[in-house]
Amino acid sequence: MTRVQNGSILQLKNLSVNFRTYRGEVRALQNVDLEISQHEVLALVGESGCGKSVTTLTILNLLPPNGYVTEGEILLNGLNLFKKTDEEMRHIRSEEIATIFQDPMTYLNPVLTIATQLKESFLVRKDFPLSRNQTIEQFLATKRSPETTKVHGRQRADIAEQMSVDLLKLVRLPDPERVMKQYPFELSGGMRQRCMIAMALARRPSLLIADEITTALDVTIQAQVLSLLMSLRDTIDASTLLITHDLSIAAETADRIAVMYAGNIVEVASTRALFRSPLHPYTKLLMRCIPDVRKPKARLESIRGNVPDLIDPPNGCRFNPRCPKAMEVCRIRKPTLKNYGNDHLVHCFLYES
Amino acid sequence: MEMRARTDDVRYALHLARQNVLVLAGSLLVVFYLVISLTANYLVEPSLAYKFDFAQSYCWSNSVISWGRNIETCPAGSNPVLGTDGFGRDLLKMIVLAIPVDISVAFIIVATSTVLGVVLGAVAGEIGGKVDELILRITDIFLAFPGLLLALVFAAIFGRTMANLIFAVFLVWWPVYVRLIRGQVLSEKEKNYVEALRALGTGRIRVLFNHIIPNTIYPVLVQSTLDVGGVILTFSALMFLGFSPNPALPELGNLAADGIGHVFTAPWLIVFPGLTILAITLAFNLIGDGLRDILDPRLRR
Amino acid sequence: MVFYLARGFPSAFAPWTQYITRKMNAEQIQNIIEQHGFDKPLWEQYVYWLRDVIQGDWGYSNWANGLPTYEVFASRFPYTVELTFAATILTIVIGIPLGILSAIKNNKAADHVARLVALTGYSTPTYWFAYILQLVFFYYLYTLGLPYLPSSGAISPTLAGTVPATTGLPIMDGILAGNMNYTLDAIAHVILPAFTLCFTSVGYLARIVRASMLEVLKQDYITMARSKGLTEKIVICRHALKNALGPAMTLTGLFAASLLGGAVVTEYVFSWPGVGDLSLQAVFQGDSNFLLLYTLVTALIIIVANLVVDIGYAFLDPRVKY
Repeated sequence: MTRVQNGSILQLKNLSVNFRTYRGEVRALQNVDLEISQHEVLALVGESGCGKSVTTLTILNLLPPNGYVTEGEILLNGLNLFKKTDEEMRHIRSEEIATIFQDPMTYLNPVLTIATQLKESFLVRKDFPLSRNQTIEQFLATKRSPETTKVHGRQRADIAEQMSVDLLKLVRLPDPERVMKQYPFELSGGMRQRCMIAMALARRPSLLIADEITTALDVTIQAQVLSLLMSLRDTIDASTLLITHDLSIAAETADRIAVMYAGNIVEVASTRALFRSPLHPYTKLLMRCIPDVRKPKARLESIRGNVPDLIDPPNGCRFNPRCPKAMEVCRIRKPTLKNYGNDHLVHCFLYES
Repeated sequence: MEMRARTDDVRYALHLARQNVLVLAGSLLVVFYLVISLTANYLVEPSLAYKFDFAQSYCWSNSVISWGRNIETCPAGSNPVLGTDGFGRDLLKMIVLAIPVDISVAFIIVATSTVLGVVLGAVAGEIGGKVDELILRITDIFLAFPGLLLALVFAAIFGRTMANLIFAVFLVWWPVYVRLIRGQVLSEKEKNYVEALRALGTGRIRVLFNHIIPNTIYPVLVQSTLDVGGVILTFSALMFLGFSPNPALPELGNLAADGIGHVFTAPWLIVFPGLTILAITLAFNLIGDGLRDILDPRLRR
Repeated sequence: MVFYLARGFPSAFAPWTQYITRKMNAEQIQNIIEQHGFDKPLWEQYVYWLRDVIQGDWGYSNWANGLPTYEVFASRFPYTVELTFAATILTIVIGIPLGILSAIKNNKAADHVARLVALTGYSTPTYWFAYILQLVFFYYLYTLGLPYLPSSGAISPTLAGTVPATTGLPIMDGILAGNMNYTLDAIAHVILPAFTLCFTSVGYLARIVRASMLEVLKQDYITMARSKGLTEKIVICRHALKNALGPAMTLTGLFAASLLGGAVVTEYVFSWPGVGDLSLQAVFQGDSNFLLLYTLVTALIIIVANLVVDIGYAFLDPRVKY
């Protein structure tokens, strides 16, 4: 696929996704607009259950059988993903998009060794290896081989084996040869997550999706994993969609932040702009929830109310039952996207002139 | 509130059931056979079972199916639809008479097995300790042997009366329920509502019978339905192998046994009773299997 | 494991098998009664029996020309083994792919058909099916002049004894002796009974495989594997299968074990010279010695089978340790 130089890697346009359940239609995503440019890290922030993981699955075309797209499109490098056949999508998943999932315990196959699972990430691309005798850094830096190199099956496996060990070193796993032979349950949470990162990197994607990768880890490991991810991102030169519920993580790592609530995008801005002047009431409340170290005695804030039931969401703006600034119009219609300046986008009637 | 949740469950289950073709077909068949068993004595004169007419034994007169050569055709004047057996009785009529016998035997065995098994299993799971160990051991011994073998040996020991045979098969079937319920009870016990009930001071037995057992009833239901078929198979196999109390008894396995020595000269004797057994068992299995899918809590949304 | 042994043995045999001994009493003349100690109280008899067993004295099988029970059993056992082998292989080869197919095409037409076939097999009376097979493949093919499959015995009477019985298994003996004629004949004989046995349980196996496959396919690591861009075939064969085969293996193990105990009905119908057929005769003749040995061996087999299955589990799932 040709690369669009200064354009966006991924564009979600007006995307709506529903799930058919016995109790009714769950409207998981509603008119979602999202854009990730080259080389940038976009953080998608929101509470649990607001539809972040659904977004990931939709991009990958791995929705469960009862999920379906009702409207909108997804453009990867300008190409409409919904027009792709299953085989083409599979190809895209193997070469262009790599996902790191939330819980490495359940997302790694318990009966296969790390070696098997890592090697297959290398071998899934037909043009592996790019050329013989590359270091892992060189390998990761090149996206595509100029011409197809003829390497036989046995040799491919051997090269994959060697590369895997190198890659594990790169993700800062101690004693990689040993780790290769181990099974997921024999490793600690942080180590497993690093393996997942390695598996994602092995495919040298142009888009990296990190779906709540730190949620299952404790705080010290979180920091390590995040810093690892950020340093590696530069090595492979990929755009990243970082999904998290933790605003502080987004603050540390992202260039831009998109805030999501109940299946809708409510605000999108560069990290700086968002923190300097949050616009949407929900964003403001979220920021207040982060405890401030400078004020240890202050009470912990929370947003009153509950996440809405997505089968029967509130009319109009979905946040209106909990919004401290809700107006009449909020209960009737949905706000449209407004560009507040400098690409700071917000969906709120407060800013509709 | 519990009742409402329960009826919702049932309605959802029925909804799923309606969507499943096989379950529907199975239910139809079961209804069909149940109707026949209930009305059998009206359809066919029961005393016919003991009216022997050796002049026309092992003959076939239906021109629809041809069994090849060496088949005796029936003397003129009689026209048994499915041929006659060794006693000269009309096979179709005998099958009709036999169906209620098999089905009622199966129901008796399954019902008693379920009750005993559930009670024992619940007690074992609830009380635990030595009682549990004991019950478990006994159950394991029974379960260690393949069903037919065990039934055979029991039948040999107990003798050939109907009651004994029923008892023999029953002895083979009840252990399954003990294991089943015990496992369920054990996992239910860990659940929160049990603790809550205990904290409220409800007696153990009440907790057990009013709350735990109803919640674990689904797998038992599935197992019972499937077992009806299994019991029919085992019981008729016993009859087939020669344990029948009375050679003329209208029972499907027994009727088939008649045909052992005449496989090539009177094949219908084995074919049709066996086919009936197959159909009945299949019907119950279809429902049971469908039930298993429907009631599987993990497959629901 | 020791638990199992302790459990399976003593209690199973003490109470009710002694009843069979009682039955024999009526047929025994007085001095033999005293000789064998049948007039002693039950538990004493049991102790004697146990002692004899450990010393290798299984007693005599009364009706089979007074041959030692052990010999009678051993001469028939290999045939049962052969039948078990054939039936198990057949069941696995048909059942597992059927189950996988059902799981992949869940709730589509193929699944329903497979399920119907499976349930039909499961609902079929063994003896009936055995006879039908005999009827169709032996009788009708014969009368129609087509090549047919033999309906009884393990080897044609004309060929019997032409090959040294090294293992006792007709097929193996034939192969070992290099006599292809013999082997082919043996295979032809084993097809029908093996298929009968397989037909009734292949459905069950397929259902179990289907159920565990469905469970596995919902797991997160399958989503992960798919997100790697692996072909569906690899996802299923490499990632899903290993996880799903556990219960299927348990089932197959127990199935084989129960067959080793002698598929009574099938052997009877096909006049297969195996242990199950023998046990049937023993029951009718009231031959308690044989039955004792028989139940002992069967219990032993089942215990061993459970062990084997447990060990097999350790192979499939690296989390299980011994």
